[in-house]
Amino acid sequence: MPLLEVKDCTKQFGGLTAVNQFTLSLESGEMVGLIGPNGAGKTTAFNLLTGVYAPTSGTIQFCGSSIAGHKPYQIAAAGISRTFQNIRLFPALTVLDNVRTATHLHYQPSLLSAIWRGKSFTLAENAARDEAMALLERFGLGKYYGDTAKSLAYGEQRRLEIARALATRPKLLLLDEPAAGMNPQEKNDLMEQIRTLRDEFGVTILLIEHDMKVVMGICERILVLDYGQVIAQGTPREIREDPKVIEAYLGEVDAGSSVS
Amino acid sequence: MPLWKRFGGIALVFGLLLLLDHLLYGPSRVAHDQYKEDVLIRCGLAIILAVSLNIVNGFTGQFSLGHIGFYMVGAYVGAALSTYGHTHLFPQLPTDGSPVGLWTSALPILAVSLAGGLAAAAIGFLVGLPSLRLRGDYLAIITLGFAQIILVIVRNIKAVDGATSFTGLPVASQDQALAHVATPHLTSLFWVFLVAALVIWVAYSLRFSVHGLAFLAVREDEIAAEAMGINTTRYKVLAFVLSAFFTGIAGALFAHYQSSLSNESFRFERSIDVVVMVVLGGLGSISGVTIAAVLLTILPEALRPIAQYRLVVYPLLLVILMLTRPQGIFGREEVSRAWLRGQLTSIAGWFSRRPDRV
Ligand SMILES: Nc1ncnc2c1ncn2[C@@H]1O[C@H](COP(=O)(O)OP(=O)(O)OP(=O)(O)O)[C@@H](O)[C@H]1O
Ligand SMILES: [Mg+2]
Repeated sequence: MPLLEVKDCTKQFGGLTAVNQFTLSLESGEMVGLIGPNGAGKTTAFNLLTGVYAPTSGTIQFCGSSIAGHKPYQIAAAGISRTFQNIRLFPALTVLDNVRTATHLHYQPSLLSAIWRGKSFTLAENAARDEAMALLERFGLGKYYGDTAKSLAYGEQRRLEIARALATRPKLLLLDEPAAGMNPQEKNDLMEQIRTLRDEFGVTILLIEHDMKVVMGICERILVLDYGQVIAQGTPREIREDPKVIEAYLGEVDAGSSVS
Repeated sequence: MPLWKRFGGIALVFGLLLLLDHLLYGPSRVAHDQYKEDVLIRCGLAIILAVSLNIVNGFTGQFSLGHIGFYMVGAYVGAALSTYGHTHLFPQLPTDGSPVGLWTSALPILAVSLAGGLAAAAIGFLVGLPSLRLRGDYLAIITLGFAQIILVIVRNIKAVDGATSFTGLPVASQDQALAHVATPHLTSLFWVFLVAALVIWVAYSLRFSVHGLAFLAVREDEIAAEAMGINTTRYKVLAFVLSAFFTGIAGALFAHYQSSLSNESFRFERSIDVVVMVVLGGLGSISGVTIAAVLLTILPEALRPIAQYRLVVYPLLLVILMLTRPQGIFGREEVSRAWLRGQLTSIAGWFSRRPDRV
């Protein structure tokens, strides 16, 4: 059974069809890239998968049950977590608290026990703190744990978003242009970190990225979206040579290099 | 936290409160400084109101202007319970509204507080569920509207003399002295500050737990909070209900302090007073809000000597404070040792800075 099975998902905003008959099947443990020109509907596809929008039509099955039209927090609980293209951290909270917040899903103590502050509460709080701290260390953010999230540099904020997403212990991680706005060096470092995530956290990854080279470097399979439709999918090599893909990107830059 | 430490802490708080209570009232509880008691009780009530409003306005970032409505519900429900239930529930209480000994008042005050708090929480749930789908100004306006509705409803309830002032009940009795049951005077410093301590404790426990972070996440970014698995509607309603509960308790305490309960005490401006405390104290900062509640209650008293200018000076001070410290007197951080150190260094830096000579 595939981890995620999306069939003919369509999302219309008034007269505009942002995502059209989107179909996707993800096996557990895959690392898949989602590319396409600006406005192709990539972010909207993520928003459908995470319940920000309900699809106009179509079905979404995750772990064998339908999640189409569910609330975002329910989908997060089911095991899909994400980052945002235009960073959405909790800006006034500390770096550590940003990640601690996301441990909420597997945090046991009730509100009353939080007030009583018994032993099990202390244990759960320590566990949450340790888990968050470990994630921060993993992304090289340990030393900033007490700073507010908004005080971090741009690239660090992006890494913090990934750390926070992982704190929900997802089965599927959706990354929306995690390397946007980074310099080539930072970009390479980040991609290296993402590449190892999969084995380390046993998570399936779907990644939106504008930089073709980057996507081709780390994804085994790539989906190309244009005007809301999947126009091609396959291995990086197949994609690079697909005439439809080349055409979609025509007039921007040639498909082999950056199209951002 | 080890158990002995917890009970040690609880014993300490109780001890201090008993001492405070004893210092003011003395053993007889009859003759005491009425003015001092009045200011202190108002400080305690202000703390309860401000810290609980802070759970909504400061933690979850929802803007409620209607908490005075919950205060009113708590006050009237509490007063109705103790006055109507007097003969059945609390026959040991005096009927003339004279002050009640601390231990005699314990059970009755627990009962009226719970009744007032629960009633306010229930109303808070009813108000919160539909309103909390709105944000910002809209939420402020709709909560204000609800508070107004509550005011109008209470005004029309004859059983509590809502239109005038509620002082108690006439009862059918031969004996002239028993012909009237006054709302019992249960509230004393001890109870008010005990509840204040409890509310502060609850707010702190929430703030520094993962639950508390869920409240704050709602304030910071609702979409991100949902994506991290936080049911934002649930947490907003929870904050609202919790806050209404404590506000209702404050209302019940207030009702059993006053000799008469008048709807004049629950005008919209009182809501604003509490909002000012929360904003000045630093939205979200429990210690800041507590200190602001005390300061803003005492300040008008301190300005009494310049009585004729008071109404000018007080608002002027507020304006100056807001202009110079828009983040609140104490900022949004908790007042702690590290915070104090930071402030001192920045003040020191300010003094040691030399003017640039060009
Ligand atoms: N909430 C919305 N209301 C109306 N139109 C929307 C909304 N969200 C997205 N769109 C439109 O849907 C189309 C797809 O947008 P989307 O953000 O999914 O593209 P994208 O592939 O992520 O682009 P980019 O590479 O620029 O991030 C765009 O034309 C966009 O204007
Ligand atoms: Mg996008």
